[in-house]
Amino acid sequence: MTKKSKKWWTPEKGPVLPWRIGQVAQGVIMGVLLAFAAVGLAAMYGNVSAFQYQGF
Amino acid sequence: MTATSSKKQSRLVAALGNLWAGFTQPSLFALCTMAVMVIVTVIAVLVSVTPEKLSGPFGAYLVKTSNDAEGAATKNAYILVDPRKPVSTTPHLYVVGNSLIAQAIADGPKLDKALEADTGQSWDTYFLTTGSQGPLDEAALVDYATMHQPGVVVLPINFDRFDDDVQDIMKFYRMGRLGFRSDLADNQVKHILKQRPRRRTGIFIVDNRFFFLRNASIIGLRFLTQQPAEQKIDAFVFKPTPEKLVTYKRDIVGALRQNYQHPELATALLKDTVKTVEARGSKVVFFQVPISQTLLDNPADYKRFQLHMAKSEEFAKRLGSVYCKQPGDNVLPTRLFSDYYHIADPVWQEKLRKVLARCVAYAQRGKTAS
Repeated sequence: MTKKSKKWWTPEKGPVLPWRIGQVAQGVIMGVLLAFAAVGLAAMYGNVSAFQYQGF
Repeated sequence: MTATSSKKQSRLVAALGNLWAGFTQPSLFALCTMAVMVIVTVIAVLVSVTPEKLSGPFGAYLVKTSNDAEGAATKNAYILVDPRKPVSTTPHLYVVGNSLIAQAIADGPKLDKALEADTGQSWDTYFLTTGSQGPLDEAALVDYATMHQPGVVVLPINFDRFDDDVQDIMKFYRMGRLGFRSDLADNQVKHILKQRPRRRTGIFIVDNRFFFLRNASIIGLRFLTQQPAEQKIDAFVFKPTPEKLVTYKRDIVGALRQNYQHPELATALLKDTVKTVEARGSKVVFFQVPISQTLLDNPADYKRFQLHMAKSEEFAKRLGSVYCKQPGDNVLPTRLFSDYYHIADPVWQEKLRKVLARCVAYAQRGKTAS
């Protein structure tokens, strides 16, 4: 007899909806931060410090 | 009653426990949501950062700090080409150029007052000044400024303008410091400098990727916290160390001594820019910013500077433009400057605003002499 596998969008135990809300909140926050971090890293890689130069 | 209440309480505890577990547990579901959010955020930024948005109220969040000249110049350029902007009967003044002119004029509202006093009219003044503005950025800003509404364009005419070679000019162009692309600047790259213009796709963040990278995060943060930054025109007052001052003097005097050895390139670019401006019905005023006595303590350098001014005046006249300078030799006491080059004295800034206002009135009347 094989064990039925758990669906990846449901928790191991307990109420489903609060767990999904928690997961979505986690994904939203991390996703936005990741996008901003990626832009920041790309800016560092692209050496856009020339903009800060205020000479003559 | 007690049993029901306790059941409800345990359900609430279980729900809160699973909410926290969902928020903290790594899972495929959270990873997929995260990936979707990265895509959604990128799309939101792509949709948000457009010329139309930047020329509207959203543009207030573009400026990185009050000293950020590129952001402010870009925003003003977009405002000027916005088709929603009605053509106005109020005369327009566009101040384009580097930190020297920005620091000499220093204050937009006070310049408006000086213009009103001299011309008897109120003016709409737009500052398109950026630090170390190269001739191609200058052409791009002039292109946008005069595209929809003619006006008087003020350009600085310093001696260091005339010693740039192709590499110097292209270096600033490739930095992509402004957040827009101009046909005038790209044509100058192609036809005058004989170089290949930067690739243009029509997609804002690709064509202006350096500008975008620099500003995307700060726009988002400023927008979310509702903290627009105001532009500060005279943000170029430095207090350099004595060692730095020695270097500055060496570099500036070096540029003066190099001056007019190979002026063909700079002259060709400037002529093309002025020709375009005038074809659109605008007038040009060349503004000569005074410099510090300390730089010209060698009599030969003093003579060179006076010769530069004489040549600049002749050049302006040939182009049919106004050459504007402070009466006299245009050499001022060192104490008025923060670093030999940027004027930091409010009394002299006021005097220079009045001089500029007189020149602008002169240009408006169609006169060309200085």
